[in-house]
This record gives sequence, C-alpha cells and structure tokens, in this order.
Amino acid sequence: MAYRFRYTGDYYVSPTGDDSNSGTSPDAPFATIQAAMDAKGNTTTATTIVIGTGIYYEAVSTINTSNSNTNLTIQGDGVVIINGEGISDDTTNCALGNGGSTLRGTIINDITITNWHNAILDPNGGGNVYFAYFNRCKFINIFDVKRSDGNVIYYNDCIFVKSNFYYGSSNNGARYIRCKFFKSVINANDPYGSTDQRTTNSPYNAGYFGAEMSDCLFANPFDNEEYIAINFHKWNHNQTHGIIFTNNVFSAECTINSTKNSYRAGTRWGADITERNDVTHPFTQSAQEFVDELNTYGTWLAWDGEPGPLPQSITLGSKGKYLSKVINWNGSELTGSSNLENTFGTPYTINFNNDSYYEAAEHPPTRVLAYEHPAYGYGTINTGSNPFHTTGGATWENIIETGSGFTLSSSAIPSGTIESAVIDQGISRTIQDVQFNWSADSSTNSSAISYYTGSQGGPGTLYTYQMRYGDSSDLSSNEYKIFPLNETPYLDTNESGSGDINFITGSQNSVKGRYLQFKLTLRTDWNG
Amino acid sequence: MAIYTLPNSASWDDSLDFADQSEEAQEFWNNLIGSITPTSIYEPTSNPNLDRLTSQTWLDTSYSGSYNYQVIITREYQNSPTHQRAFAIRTTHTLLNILDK
Repeated sequence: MAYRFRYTGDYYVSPTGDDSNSGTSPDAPFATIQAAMDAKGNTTTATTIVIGTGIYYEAVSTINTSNSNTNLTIQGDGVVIINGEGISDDTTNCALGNGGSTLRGTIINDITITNWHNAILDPNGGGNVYFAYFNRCKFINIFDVKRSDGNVIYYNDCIFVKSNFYYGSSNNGARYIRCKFFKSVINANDPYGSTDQRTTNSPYNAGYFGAEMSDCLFANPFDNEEYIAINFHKWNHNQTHGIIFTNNVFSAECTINSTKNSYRAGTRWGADITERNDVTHPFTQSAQEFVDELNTYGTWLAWDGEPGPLPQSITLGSKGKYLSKVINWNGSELTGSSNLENTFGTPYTINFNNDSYYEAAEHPPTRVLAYEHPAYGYGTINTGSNPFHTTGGATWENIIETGSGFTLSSSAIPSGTIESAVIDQGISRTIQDVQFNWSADSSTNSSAISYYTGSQGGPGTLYTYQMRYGDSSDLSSNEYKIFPLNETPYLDTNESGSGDINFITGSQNSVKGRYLQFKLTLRTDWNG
Repeated sequence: MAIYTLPNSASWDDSLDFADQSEEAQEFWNNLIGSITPTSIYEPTSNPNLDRLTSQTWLDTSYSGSYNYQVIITREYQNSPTHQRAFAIRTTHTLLNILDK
C-alpha cells in the first residue's frame, strides 16, 4: 500500500517503497533513507527528505563530505524509527553520519533513533557535525561515544531513554533545550565555549560555543536506583567561556557529579554556575512511587506547580569525588525485542498512538495529558474514564461502537463524528499534548494510519481532531478549533483553528483552559 | 605502531582509534575529507538513475614533507544491488593512511 505523506519534500522514503523508484514522488518513494541521501548527493541546495512511518534498519551516511552546510532537512512523517538492532557495532557505524559524512547544518525532525552504539557519527569515520539540529527526536538505548570534532548539536524537545550522550565535546558544547532524560546520562566532557558567541555567532559559524542545558527534566522511571544524570568528566578549561545550566528538574534518584577539576577561579563559566545555581529537586515521591505511577497512568502526576524551594548546588571543586557511574551498555540488550520490552514495559509496536515510551506503557485507553513547561509546572491529568465512551457522556454519529471503547467495525468504512464528554481538569492548565489511543481491527487499522484513499484502492479514514476549551463548564458556545493530533495545540495568529490535520500554526500561543471537549471526525478520503 | 606528526602539528598515534586521537588530529583528517574531491567508485543498481557508492578515496599530496595522506571509506551494504532495499548500509569502514611520498 502506498503511504500517505503529510509532509512535502524533495525525496520520499517508505518501508513499502523501493530503491528502484525515483523517490521524488509520494507515490514512488525509496525504501531506504540512504537512497534518498545518495540521490541528494553532495548538493548543498536546500533539500527535504520526508520519511514515512516505519522501522528502518540501516546505517545512514549523509554523503556530503564537504565542509559546507548540507542544507538538508530530514523530516519524520509519523512514527519513524532508525533501529540499529542487528546492525549496530561499537566502532564502525552509527545511525546518522557514517563514513566521513557531515551533518553540518542538517535539521532532523521527529525521528526516533534506537539501539545504536553511536547515534551520530561513527567513531572512526571522520566527518563532523557543526550545528546540527535535532527537533522532537527520541534517542532510546544509545551509547554514544565521544567525538571531538565540533559536536555543536542542538537538541530541542527531544527525549532520551536509557542513553548516554555528551553535553559538550572539546571546544564546542551541545545545547539541550526542553529535553527529557529518562535514566539517561549526559557526559560533559570538558565543555567550554562562549556564552557571548552563543547568541551572536552565525548558526553555521562554528567556534567556541557555549554548552547549554535549560528547561530539561531528568528522571529514572525504570527502577529504584540512583544514578548519575550528568557527569562532568572534565571541566577544567582555563577559558573565559561560559555555559548555561538553568531551570532543569531532577527527580530524586538523579544526581550530578564532577569527576575532575571543575573550577578555576576567574573563569566566566564558573561564575555562571554559581549565579545560576537553580537546579531544583521538586519531586517528593520515591522512585518506586514514580514507577508505580508511571505504570498506572503512563506518566507521572506528582508535581504540577512551581519549582520547589530546594536549590541543590552542584558540587564543584578541585577534588571532585569520582562518583561517575554511567549506564553500562550491554551488547545483549541490542538483540531481540527484549530490550525494547524492557525499555517500554510492553512490546513495542508501531501503532497509531505510540510515539514515546510512556505512551507505550500501560495506561487507560483514553486519557488527556496536560502539562506545562517543566520550569513552571508538570503533571498529568488522567480523565479517569473514557470520555469517548457513551456512558461517559459522549455523543455519537454514524459510528459503530463495539466493546468498551472506541472500536471501528471491520465491515464498514468508518465515518462520522465523535464528540467527547466535557473533561474537567480541576484547574486551568496549559494543554501541552492530547493523546487518544485508538483501537482498530486489522483491516481498517492500516487505513487509519496511512489515510489510504478510495482512489488508491483502499478504504480511507481521515480524522480531524477538534477541541474546544474554556474555564466555564458550559462549552456549548465555544468554537471547536482544529489541531494536529498528538502535537502541541497552539493557536494561529488569528487565535483560531483552521485547516486540516496538517494545520500549521503561525504562532506559539498556548492553549489553556480548565474544561476540554474533543471532537473527532472520520472521513472516507483525504479530501473529505 | 608509530607516532607521526601531522602537518597541522598534531600527533597521530596509529595504534589508537580515531575517536581516541587528539582533537587536532581528528580535525586534520576531517579537513582533508572536506577539502579534497574524492575518487568515488559506484556499482549499478535496479534504479537507472542511481548507482550505489562502494568506496571513496581522498589523497592529499599537497604537503612538502615526507608523507602523503589518504582516506579510504568503503560501504558495506546489507543487500544485493538489485534488492528492493539495495541502498541499506550495514556499516562503513574508514582507513586513514600515511603514505611515503
């Protein structure tokens, strides 16, 4: 079946494609990411490669070996996983950046990289990074090696699960912004740079670049053990270079350690750390409680407020204790599916609503996740009951209901509208993410995922996700607005929703309200 | 096992992995790759418009000292050239050679 792409680009990739295709049309995608990379070749013309939902077992080279900006965007379209299982080794390959290739200036969006020794740049392959941007990516079970060649990488809104990464490498620092680290270790190997240049340098002008970690969350939901969340292996450059380390949240089992000389009087970054000693320790629950909560609700509820008044200083000194204990990478964890099961708690499969580890954990069939930025609040609202179930007050139109939830009949092309009951969050909250877990049988499941159209030979199910909200329980006069499913709801510049599932917002206005109501419209083809 | 001084004055210990070499040494090889057009070898696939790369060789003879510097990167694919997933790479191999002139 052809995969229905949401994004447009210069090249398309799908597991159901073929490398003998042109790759330039959504109807004729390549089967491998590498084919698209090679088709792009060494050109520095702006190029977008769109990768469709699926698991890709391949080590990718960006082929561009020049010292110029690749001008390349790699866009995941759906749940896209580059899996090193059966491929990854510790010295000669990685997920992205094999064989001397560079990721300089490459933008990688919405990709999951899992089961690799090395996520970015193979250890012996040469090549460099220099200002690569990972946005909304996930790194699961990665043991990333040190590469000392300008790892100026931006990680924005990324999730790291059981992975080791580097905070800074030699003369350039990585930037982790709004990232979540779940039993993952950041190894800060002598990061230094210039906070001044951090804001003034041209994005593609590599130079001393200050490392940054801001608004990140560290937690260990997998076991009850303490672990070292950040390791400052070496941090002793006598440079007037700064790092930013602010507004990060650490759960109880996560600690920070410095293993070598960490402070030299007069260095600016040392002063920065002193001034920015705002690491908080807000969780009041034990690690086990944390895990229990995760298993029950799929995420945690404990904290939904301002950061606690418990500043925890980072121990820095010339005789910093050697307490480093990185997560030992175990090669056996890369074999079979057991690792993924261990990581996610349940066997990991590609499905409609499974794009992060906690979503795959056990949780009620339908829930609403609402949380704010870690620096301002964090928590989850579980609806407690399925708001799309008729007994919960939902209204139905032309939907065949079976079982206890929302089930599509195998004998009918689903269409119609489902309107949920009004959901009371208790207080007004910023809506960060709204997730629905759909259930569909085998004959319609694929169509629900791929938006297969009737004209392409199969039944089609295109859904439109609408939400209305407010601080009054009576939402009847509020306008339903259209948002992308499983993405952060934002309002456009007119503060209204428009368009379709591909609705692209024009601003970053957050959606906030106490009461929520959802409406899903299923249609039989892409064009409605 | 030998230790060389690279043209950028960095030390290169050929008994160490690339990742364990000094930052300056790594930069030397990275700059070599980035500044010279390689000789590339391809093989045909089922795609009439896209052959697949099997190896690339960079050779820098520009230095006046005793050595030339060569990088050879080869690709190891998972499947045959006619396979649906012909371009899926299993791994790459990098050889860094310091050659007598």
